[in-house]
Amino acid sequence: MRKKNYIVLVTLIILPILIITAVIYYNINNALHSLDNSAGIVVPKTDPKYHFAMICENMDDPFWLSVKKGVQKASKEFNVAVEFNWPGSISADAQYKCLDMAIVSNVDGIVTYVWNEEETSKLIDKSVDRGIPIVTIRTDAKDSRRAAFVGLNTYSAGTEIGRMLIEATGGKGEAVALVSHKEPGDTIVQNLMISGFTDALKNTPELKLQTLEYDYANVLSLEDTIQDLLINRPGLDAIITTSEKDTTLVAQRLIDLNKLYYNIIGYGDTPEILRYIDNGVIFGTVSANHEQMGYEAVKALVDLKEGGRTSAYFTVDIQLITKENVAEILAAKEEASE
Amino acid sequence: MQMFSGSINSLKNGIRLWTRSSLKKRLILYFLAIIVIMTALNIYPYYSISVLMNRMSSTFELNVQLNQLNNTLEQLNYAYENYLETKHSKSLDDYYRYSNELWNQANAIRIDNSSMDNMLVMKDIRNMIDNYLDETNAAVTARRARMVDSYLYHYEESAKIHQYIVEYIHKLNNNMFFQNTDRYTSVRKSIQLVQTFNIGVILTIIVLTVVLILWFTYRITKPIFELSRAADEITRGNFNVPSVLVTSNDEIGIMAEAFNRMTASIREYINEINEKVELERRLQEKEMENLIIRTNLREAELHALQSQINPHFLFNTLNAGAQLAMMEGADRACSFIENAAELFRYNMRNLDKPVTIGDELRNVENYMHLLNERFADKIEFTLEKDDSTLDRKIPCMILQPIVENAYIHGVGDLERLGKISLSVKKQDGYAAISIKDNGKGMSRDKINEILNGTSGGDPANEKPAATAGEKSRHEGHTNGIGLNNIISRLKIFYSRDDILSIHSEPGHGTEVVLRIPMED
Repeated sequence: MRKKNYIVLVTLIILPILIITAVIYYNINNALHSLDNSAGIVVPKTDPKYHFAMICENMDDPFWLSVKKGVQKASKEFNVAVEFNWPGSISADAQYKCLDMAIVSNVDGIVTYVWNEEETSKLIDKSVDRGIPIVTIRTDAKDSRRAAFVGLNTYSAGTEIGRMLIEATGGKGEAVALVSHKEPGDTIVQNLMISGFTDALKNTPELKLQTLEYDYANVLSLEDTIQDLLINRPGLDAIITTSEKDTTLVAQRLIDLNKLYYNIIGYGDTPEILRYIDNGVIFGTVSANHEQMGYEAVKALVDLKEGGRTSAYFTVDIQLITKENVAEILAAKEEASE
Repeated sequence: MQMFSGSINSLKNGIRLWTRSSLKKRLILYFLAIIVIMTALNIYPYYSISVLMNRMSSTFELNVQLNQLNNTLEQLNYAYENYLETKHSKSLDDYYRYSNELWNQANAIRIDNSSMDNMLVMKDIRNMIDNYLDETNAAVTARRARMVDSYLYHYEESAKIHQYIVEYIHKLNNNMFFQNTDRYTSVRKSIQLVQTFNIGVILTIIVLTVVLILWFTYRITKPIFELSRAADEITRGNFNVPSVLVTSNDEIGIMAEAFNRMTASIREYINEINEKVELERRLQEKEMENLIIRTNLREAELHALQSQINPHFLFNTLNAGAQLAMMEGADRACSFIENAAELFRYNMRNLDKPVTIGDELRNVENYMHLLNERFADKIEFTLEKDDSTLDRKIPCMILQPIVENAYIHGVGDLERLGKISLSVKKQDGYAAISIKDNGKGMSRDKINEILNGTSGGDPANEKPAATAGEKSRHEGHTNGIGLNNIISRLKIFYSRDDILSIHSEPGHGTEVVLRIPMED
């Protein structure tokens, strides 16, 4: 009996030691392995079949972060590695260099946005000459030899925003659309969107819409613009923004100034924006499934590599978010994040 | 199957060894356990640190290789630009040499699968170097062919790619550096954790070891102490020490068991000795008692002897008195004294020796002569005898006491004349001796009492005052011989119990009849 006790005692001492040691060992090994992943490249767990490059505007914008999520999903699914490149500064040179580097690196395929149709088209053609297929995302270079375009229907997004504006103001009053005066890039998108608004507002002559441009590169510029707006335009009813970043900024600015009686109609479905809609700071937004965009872009490249062809045009669905359905969307997002 | 049973056997052996674990084995096991724990604890951090060091050093090696690659690229670029400017043949040689070297170095760099993105970046670099070399070759060829436009275009391209390569090398270097530092910090945390954990375990083991040592020494020394105490007790002579309880079955347990056996056997031995001594003591006591009894006996005999006057002296004295009376002419006195002397002499005989009936009759005559002289006119004594019976053997002193009884109890108290008649006749092979008186007689119950010996054989019981009779039992008797004595002596002598019979009725006298067989 005594011997048995003795064995049990020794086992009880050794066992926890071994277990704890194994756990720590496992943790260290894990730490050693998991650290080798850097933010710049999305890699699958196994040896990747293809090595793609993705050129995006920046990595701060919620839009591109959502796209990256979609890319990660596709990377896992198709077993491909995707290298993310973005210019350190917003200059035509930096953007050019990003795409050119990817081409010179002889990657298996490139996803890129178009900052300037003319310049980008040249590079796209050079890439296709070297046998590297290119898919454009968000903005398109129609006249280039890009294999496919993945984006949202910017024009219909504009008309939806226009409709929401009519709903918010009752078809009367003054509205301002804030448009960033960017280096070449987004003007294409914005122009399409603006034509969407104007088309939507054709039948409501009492609603006056004006477009205001500000310098995108300068953060203070938007603040100044808003300040000016509030002082110089006492009869203003609604403010329209065209990107997630702008929407968030305007909402924050109005909260800071404690002037919440404007209807803000914007773009995007980040948690912050959804919260503002829920609070009533923002009247409503138009949004698209950005993750789907990233996923479709990678899928198009894989299709091209494996089947040699893909459909040339992908659009993702537009979604209207107002106070009525914001709770649903929030719930769905939470579920997805889990 | 055999292997299986063999392993089971060895397992059984192991278990048996363990259960029969001696102190030595237990100590060895204990120390082994501690060593194993300590070793495990030390191997583990050593291993993790060495893994980390391997990783770090491989990264550093890669860094060195990348830097070399960068240097070669710069040297190549220098030679290339130099050639384009000066068209110097040495520069061209350098250019070819370095481009070769660059190519080899780029292909020599191997990054293992564990860091996929670094591998991909390295692949990018390799591809860029490919493209770069293509461009530079094209530029050099164009320069030699003096195609200015083409050479300028390729030069510009190569310059761009050169820039990209440098950027990528930096990027990769940076990446690896950050990965390394991250790895280091996270592993450092784990190692710190391991250290804290180790310190905890070491402390625990120290405490445990101390506890175990105390426990061990206590378990070893306690039974030894108890054994020595018990041994002391035994030395002091107390053999009834309780057995020492040691539950462990190690050497100490065996020793304690042996000790217990020893004390038990010593106790047994001592007890045996004690019993023997007791027995001897009792024997001695008995002997002593016996001795005392014998001494007492002798003393009693001595006293008895002392209290007796020598009967021969008395007899001789009486004889002298008879002669004196005869010489002085007193014939009656002479015969009286002679009869008394005769009676004495007969009484002095040994009771064990048989006599003849004639002897007995003579004695009765002597006795009656003395009685007649004392109570001349009160008793009439008649004697009839058949001479053929006189030689028959008979126990001594039988008739005289019966006659005396007849006189004392039968006729002594009578107012009228008492008659005692003694007759000896031959009858059917018996000598029938009858002693008859005309006294008070006895009841039937009394006769039965006398014959069964329950009354003490004393006819004096006939007297109304029985207690007075008890006291004066031998009063007036010549000797202490009672009727029951006579009956038992006759029974022994003739081996039959129908010798003596009594016939009597109250008021009509008593007759005692002895039927002595004539043949043996």
